Amino acid sequence: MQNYVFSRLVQSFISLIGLVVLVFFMIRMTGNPADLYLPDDVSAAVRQAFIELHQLDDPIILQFGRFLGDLVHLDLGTSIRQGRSAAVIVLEAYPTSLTLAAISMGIALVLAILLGVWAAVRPTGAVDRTISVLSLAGASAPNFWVALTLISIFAVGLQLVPTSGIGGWEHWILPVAVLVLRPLGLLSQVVREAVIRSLSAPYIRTARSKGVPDRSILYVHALRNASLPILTMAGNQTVAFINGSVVIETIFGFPGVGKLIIDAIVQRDFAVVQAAVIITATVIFLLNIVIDLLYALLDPRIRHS
Amino acid sequence: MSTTDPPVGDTAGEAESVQTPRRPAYLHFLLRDPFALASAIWLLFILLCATVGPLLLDDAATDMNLRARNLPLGSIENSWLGILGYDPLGRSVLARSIVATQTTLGIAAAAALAALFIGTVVGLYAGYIGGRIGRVIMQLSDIVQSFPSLLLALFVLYMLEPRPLNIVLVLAFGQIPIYLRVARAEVLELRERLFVDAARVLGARSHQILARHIGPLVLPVVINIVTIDFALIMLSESSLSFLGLGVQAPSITWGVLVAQGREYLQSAWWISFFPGLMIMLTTLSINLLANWLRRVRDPRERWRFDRARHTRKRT
Repeated sequence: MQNYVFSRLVQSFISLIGLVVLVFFMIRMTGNPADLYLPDDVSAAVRQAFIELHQLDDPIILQFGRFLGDLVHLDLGTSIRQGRSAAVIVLEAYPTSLTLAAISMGIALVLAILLGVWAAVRPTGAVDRTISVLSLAGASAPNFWVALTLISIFAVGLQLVPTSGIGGWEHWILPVAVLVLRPLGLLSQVVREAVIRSLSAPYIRTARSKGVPDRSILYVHALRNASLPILTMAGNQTVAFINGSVVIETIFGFPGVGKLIIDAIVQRDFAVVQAAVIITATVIFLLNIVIDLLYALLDPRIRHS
Repeated sequence: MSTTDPPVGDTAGEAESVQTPRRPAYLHFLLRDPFALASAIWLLFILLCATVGPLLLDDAATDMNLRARNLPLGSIENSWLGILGYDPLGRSVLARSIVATQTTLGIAAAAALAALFIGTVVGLYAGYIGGRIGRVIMQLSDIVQSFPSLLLALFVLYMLEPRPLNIVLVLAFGQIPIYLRVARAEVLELRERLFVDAARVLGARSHQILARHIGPLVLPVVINIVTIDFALIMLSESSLSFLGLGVQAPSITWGVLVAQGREYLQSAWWISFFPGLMIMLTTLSINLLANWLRRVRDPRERWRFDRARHTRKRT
């Protein structure tokens, strides 16, 4: 097991380096920040001074070397736009995104387990079919469209919640509602399938004939065996969350990482893009390792192999 | 573990239905499932829109009429095309939604097929040849998969121009790992089979074995995935369009239409609502139909569709 975790760490590290190289060169192909930050009629001297200040005309290999050197010292560079450390800017945006992700995934997971098990009790029954269609609808809905629709109903029409921005808890209702939908839809299907499959296993029959109550058969015996596929899907959805948060944070004006990355790409703020990607990728890799460890925790066959 | 037998009662029933292999009467099953039927009808309608929509309604979708600015639903005084309202330039929302179908489906289909082709071919080789090259390929696919695909697409499209070809490639790129993984897993299992050994003994080369013997067996598996993946790609494409990095004017997709209506949310919600509804209904229909197809094909699930016949046979 230790060997396995170690090899995963090495693998993740190699992947991370690949990603860093890719992002470094790709973001520099989007154009010169000087074109964006200086007015059109600026004199050549000022332009040259700006370029030299930010060392933009050095050979790209030299820039890359300097970037790697700084990276080794955990220095992720300085934002052109804000003149502050890029790492600090990214880390400031993280709590918002992580809270959003944690609340949404938590709600999605709990609801998905309840709905999925309820659907699995009688496959193809009325409850099952309703939940199936609803969960597919949740997984199929484009999140930006759901967001706009909810805004026009609850914020513009009924004026119950604010349209965007950050503040009290009422600002979180709509973004969380939108972000819950897709994981909820996908997860409840996985729960349903997995529980149905474990319900036909011999050990369930044994439990039933011993007189174990239905409720504990469903939620303890069957669900425990169904936990691996649920974990896989929950992990995938957490990674996919970043996709969703780019769009949702933009619509709702949430100062999270998703909005930060897209703003930084558009503003050619190279250091911030790099910092955001490196930190996000590290988080994703760590998450994947945690998921692997959870597999081992849940499944003795993996633990002892 | 291998000594535990599957439940006896179930296998008897299954064996019976396996012994009498008959083609599932798809139409018969389809008529029995109202959701699947509705999905099929909607998808047919969408396909019709994609093929003849632009021919019939192109003028109606681009004709501006400032007197019809942001007219609400049901404004059918001028023409029936106003039933879903008008946009800020007085263009019919219905006509624009229908015309956008072709581009939307075209881009998604092209991306899905590209991902299917590239992913399967690379996956076949990675699985069959294996070794160090196989490992490197899998590592690369891990990198691609661990990075949020939408961010990658944003990067590339901001760097290059958001032209249709680039959009297709970028959308396909994020989906390649799925096919690669599945194809490789299938090959790893198939290459140990006797018929592969036989082909090798007879002197077939690697690419012949892959193309003639293994490929055809992997194909149904990846085609199964492509239906759901198509819906996923459509969603990604509409997200890109919504963020302004999809197809550029004057081309329109459903995502572009939703984005265009965003500013008018307070005054004219129908501009972005209906194109978004088209996206939602189409992805939902694809998913429902794929789900239905899977259940009809799966002998363990199929009995649920014709329970009556089944029980009659048993007694």
